[in-house]
Amino acid sequence: MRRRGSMAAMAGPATIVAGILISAIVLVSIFAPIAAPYDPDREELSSSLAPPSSAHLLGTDRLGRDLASRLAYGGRTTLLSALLVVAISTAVGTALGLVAGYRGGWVDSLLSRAFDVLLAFPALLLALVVAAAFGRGIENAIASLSVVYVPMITRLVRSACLVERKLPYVEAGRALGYSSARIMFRHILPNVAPLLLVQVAIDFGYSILDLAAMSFLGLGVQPPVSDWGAMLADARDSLLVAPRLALAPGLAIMIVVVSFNLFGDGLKESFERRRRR
Amino acid sequence: MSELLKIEGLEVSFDDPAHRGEGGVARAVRGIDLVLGSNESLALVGESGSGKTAAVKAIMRLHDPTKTRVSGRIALEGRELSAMSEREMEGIRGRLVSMVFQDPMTSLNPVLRVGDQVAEAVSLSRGLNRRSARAVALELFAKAGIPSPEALFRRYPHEFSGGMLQRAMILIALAASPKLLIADEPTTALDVTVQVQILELIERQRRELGTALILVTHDMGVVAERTERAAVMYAGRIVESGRTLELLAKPLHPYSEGLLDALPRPGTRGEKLKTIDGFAPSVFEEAPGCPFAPRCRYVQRPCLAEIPALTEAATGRRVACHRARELDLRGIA
Amino acid sequence: MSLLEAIGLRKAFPAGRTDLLGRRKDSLRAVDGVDISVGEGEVHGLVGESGCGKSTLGRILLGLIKNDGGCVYFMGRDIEEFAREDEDRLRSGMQIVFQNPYSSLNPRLSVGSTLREVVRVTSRRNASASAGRDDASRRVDAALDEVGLPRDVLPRYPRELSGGQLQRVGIARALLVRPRLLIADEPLSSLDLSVQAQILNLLAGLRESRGLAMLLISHDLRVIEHVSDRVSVMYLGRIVETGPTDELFSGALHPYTRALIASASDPRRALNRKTESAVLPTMMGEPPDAINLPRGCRFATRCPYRMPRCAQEEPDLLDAGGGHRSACWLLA
Repeated sequence: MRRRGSMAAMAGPATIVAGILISAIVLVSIFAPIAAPYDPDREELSSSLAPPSSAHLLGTDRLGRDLASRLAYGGRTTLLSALLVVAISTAVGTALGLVAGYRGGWVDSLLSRAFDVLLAFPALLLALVVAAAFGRGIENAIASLSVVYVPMITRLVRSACLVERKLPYVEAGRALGYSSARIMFRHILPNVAPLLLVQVAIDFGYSILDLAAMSFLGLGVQPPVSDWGAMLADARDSLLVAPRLALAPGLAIMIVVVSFNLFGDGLKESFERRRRR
Repeated sequence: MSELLKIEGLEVSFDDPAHRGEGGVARAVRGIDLVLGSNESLALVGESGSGKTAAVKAIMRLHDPTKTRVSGRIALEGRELSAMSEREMEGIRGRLVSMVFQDPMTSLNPVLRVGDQVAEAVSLSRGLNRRSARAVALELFAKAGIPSPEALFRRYPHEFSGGMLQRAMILIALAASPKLLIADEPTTALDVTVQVQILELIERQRRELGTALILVTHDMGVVAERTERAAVMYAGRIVESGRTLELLAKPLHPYSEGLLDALPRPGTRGEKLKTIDGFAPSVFEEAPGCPFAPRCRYVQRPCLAEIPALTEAATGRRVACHRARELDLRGIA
Repeated sequence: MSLLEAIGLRKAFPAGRTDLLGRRKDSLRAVDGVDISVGEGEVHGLVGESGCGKSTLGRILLGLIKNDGGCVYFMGRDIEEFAREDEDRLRSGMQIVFQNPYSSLNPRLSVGSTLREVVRVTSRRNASASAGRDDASRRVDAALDEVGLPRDVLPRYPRELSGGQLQRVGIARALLVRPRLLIADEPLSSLDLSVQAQILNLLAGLRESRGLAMLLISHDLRVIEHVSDRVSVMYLGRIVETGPTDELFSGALHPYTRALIASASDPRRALNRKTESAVLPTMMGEPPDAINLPRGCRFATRCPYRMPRCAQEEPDLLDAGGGHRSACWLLA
């Protein structure tokens, strides 16, 4: 008898490592106020660009701010923003996908065409356009990215929905007079969830990249708030002198994105293995 | 009639780590002996879980060697199959022994035309080049009474009905005039009227080519008109065997009786069918006595203690039941 | 009027080749002028091979598919109107059991969840029946008893149960709303022979215990003959013969019915014959292309008794007396 939690038991080693890394980074970000040794905005011009030492684990930046602390707090901002992007886009995309897939008709045609057009554009480009139109700021960045991620989710949910709705258990629900809403959310959605989760994991990684890019270009967070992308932008001037100023946030981004991708892949594999039984 | 196939003590088991708590090894076939003469037809009857498919796949060595353990002797025309290399087996599959499966739709590549696939099979099994193979294939189809074969050749599998595809599969299987054809539930997915045509096709081809047949099925009704001998399988073992008509008229094993009872008979409308209670034992189970005992109407003490061996009860009739001599079972006569 | 009465049903699906805009040019007449009725407590067997439209017909009768022409009356009311005004009563009146037991249940819900949900949702609609937790459990337990399942299937998931058990769950689910009519769409085809017998007994028993009427759709003649009071034979979207079971099986009038009966494997026939290879004449070939039906009787291309008239006009169901009707010019 297989229990629901056995999914974890079937994960490969790469997935487990990825999972550990993600957990570690998330924990550090959550507990940034306790973990970080300094206030990230505290300037100490006297120790500007100081190399790593016992006082400053990763050294300081141009304004003498502790790099490690900035990394931890920056992570907070980045991860939280990414979470919002994923949460919003998934919620909206799933609802639209279910309706389009289950009800079909003109709603489906309209949405599918519109989204086909949107999907032709690179996500980042669209987000930049929106941000440029509505102004800078992290809220706008999150909003525009969320909008841009919706079509992919909708398409995924829609095609899974098309498959499920032909199955007898859905017909049985209709024969029993269940409302469309009940069938869509209580019956079809749980069966679509595994595929969705995989996409969510991967989207998390990509949204971090996109958010970092936007901040790097100055369209995301505005000073004094900082995130990894903004840190990269700041590091540009001191690249030759103190490359670690760019390496630290860069590596952080890379590790998180790769971890999420690996985790997503691992999830996909364990779902496929389960389904094959 | 010479001996074509001789199986002794065949056992097939699969590794199943998901069921580690129950031993982790699924024993699908638990020791069967079978003899088939050339040009003879044998029905292998059993329900899902009886091990019949695992057994015939073992003859063709189609199991995944990394997960499956096959032991016992399988001799084809005197040659021991288990001792052969994969290369030698490839020479046998499709040439000496062919198999037809239940669902023809999944046996064919959906993106290639049917004609190309048939020609490929024929060319491989007969060693002809593509063009000659195609000509041969067309001829085979025409002889089998399939209308306008050229037009059909150009179509794709999904454009065919199940019955038509199954006919094509049978012709492919018989293209190299194999000595043995194994048909694994070939008509289960098809309509009644097509079933008849398919079985008749197999019969006609068989007579012409002198091919022996193993027909795997769960439907006793299909068996009657098409096979000379039958063997009933339950929980990985053969529980009864003999001439088909004799077995149907007067079965010797309670499970066979149960299977025959399950067939609705004309003239008994409204009567409850006699059914077999309970469920087949799990493939992981290792009960000490007769595997059918928990469900048997005639069970007694000795049945729970010892597994009955397949013994000869009359000429040509074998049964694995402790009480075979005393019981007077009802057939369909 | 009977419990369920359908007149002149038609349903066509777009099919065939597509034009430039991607629309399909031809249509497949899945149900092409069908009259059928089921009386209270009656078991009506609908026989036909794959592609004859019987599943489509079943769904039209339930209201799951919208028909193009004709009407369906349940308990004397047109079901379209019924659905608009009192959908709950309609849904509780007629239920369905499917062919594939594995996909007829939501794989993510336990058996208990699925069954309890039925009670919860349907009784919320009927203000009269209250559905407290206890009441729901009681009704679910009662349904399990009726189909012969033990309580311990409740926490299990569909993948953990066998085909026979799942089919029983499907029947229990249908019974929970206390229907007057059950449409069973090939309920036995996916099951092993011995399990088929069990489920068949169960279905037959429900007629005794509940006075449940049934439309039993199947391609297996042996099963149909065993439980039906009346039988209708369907071919390419039309009913070609209908009548009381005994009469139809002992004296089938339509050539298609005769061929079907002859094709059904019957071990007794083999035993009674001296030689093993004598076979009754069956029809040759395949059904015509359903999209381009031939003119006249649609069975004519395969009929051994074909007359010139058959290629000209399509026969309606002609009366042969005693409720037995056949759509064949041989009767005229």
